[in-house]
Amino acid sequence: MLGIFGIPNSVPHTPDSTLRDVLKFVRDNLVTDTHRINMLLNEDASEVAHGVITLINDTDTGLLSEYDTAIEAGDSITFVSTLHGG
Amino acid sequence: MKTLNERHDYGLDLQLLSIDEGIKGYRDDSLLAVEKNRVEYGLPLTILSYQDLYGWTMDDIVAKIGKKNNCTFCGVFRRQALDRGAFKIGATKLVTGHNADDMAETVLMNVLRGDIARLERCTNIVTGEEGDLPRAKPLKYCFERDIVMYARTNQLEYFYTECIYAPNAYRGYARKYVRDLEKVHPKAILDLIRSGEKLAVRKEVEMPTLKTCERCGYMTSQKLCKACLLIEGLNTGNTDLGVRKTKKTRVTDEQQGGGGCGSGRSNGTGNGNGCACAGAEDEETENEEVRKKIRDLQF
Repeated sequence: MLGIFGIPNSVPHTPDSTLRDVLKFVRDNLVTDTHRINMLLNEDASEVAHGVITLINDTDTGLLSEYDTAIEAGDSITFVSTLHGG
Repeated sequence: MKTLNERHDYGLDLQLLSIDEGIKGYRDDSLLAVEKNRVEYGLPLTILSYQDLYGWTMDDIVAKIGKKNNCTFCGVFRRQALDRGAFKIGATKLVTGHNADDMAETVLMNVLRGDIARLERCTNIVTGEEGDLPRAKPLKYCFERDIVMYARTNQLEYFYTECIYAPNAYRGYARKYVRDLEKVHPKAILDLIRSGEKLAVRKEVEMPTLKTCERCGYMTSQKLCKACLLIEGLNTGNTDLGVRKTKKTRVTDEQQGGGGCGSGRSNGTGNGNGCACAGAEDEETENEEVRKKIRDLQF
């Protein structure tokens, strides 16, 4: 998400890592603009904020197992905001 | 639209129109994206600013009125600015990017406001066909999610940041509610749009009639159009004007009328309670005015 973190980052993972772990990692390590973290994650980082699409290797996680989707080494995870206008 | 126009030979003469509300850190960035669109699509671009049209930028307005009701001002001004821009470039149709999510939120907001006139027309794919400049929403059935994914897949230049003044907006609550509904019932958005479409108002129900604004000639259901009313409020410092009817406003009005709140308004109602001049009758007219004004709000 532009403005929150601009460059690709690597997330350490274990064989049973899921998207949930990624969200926590993102909150704890990657978000520098903490004032606007609510635009990306909900309060306890258990889900993404309303209107954020999460992609794993360019596939919408809504089509996978959502937050329980297993993460494998080399997966590329993208957060896309659908925010617009006012 | 450009792709469809070329692919299916619609014969449309497309132009881009943007409104610069004067919001630093939001619109200035998005205008850069629009500028890239102009180059990318090879379409002429016109940008109109609130500053030029109304003499106020949104940043000025927020500085004046605080962080409430910002979207009321902005929505009213933008709608009119788009119309004016379209006339300026000689357009015969105005096409906006409202998507299915927007439509569902609008239906809900109009229900909550009790705005029957807007509720009836807000889901129409074309509005204002009787006027000079019909407005169309070609994306009314496209989900926001699909639009974003389309843009991403095709690597289209687009802008995705929430307006810095939007977090307090009424729409935000409707949006959150619609998203929650959608989680429980994925068809919620389409259902909301459908209920808007299926809604019919009986003929005998009195609807606001379209007039022209006494000041600027824009269409309105009141003597002055909403934009003129809001500008009047801004220029006179009476920033509640056109937004809400409060005691404060009433006092000011009455003072101008010479009466003044403290004078007790001993006009025969018999209660003579000094400042309690908002008797039952007044309350009633006040409510009616509020209703009228709410009807005239954006969307």
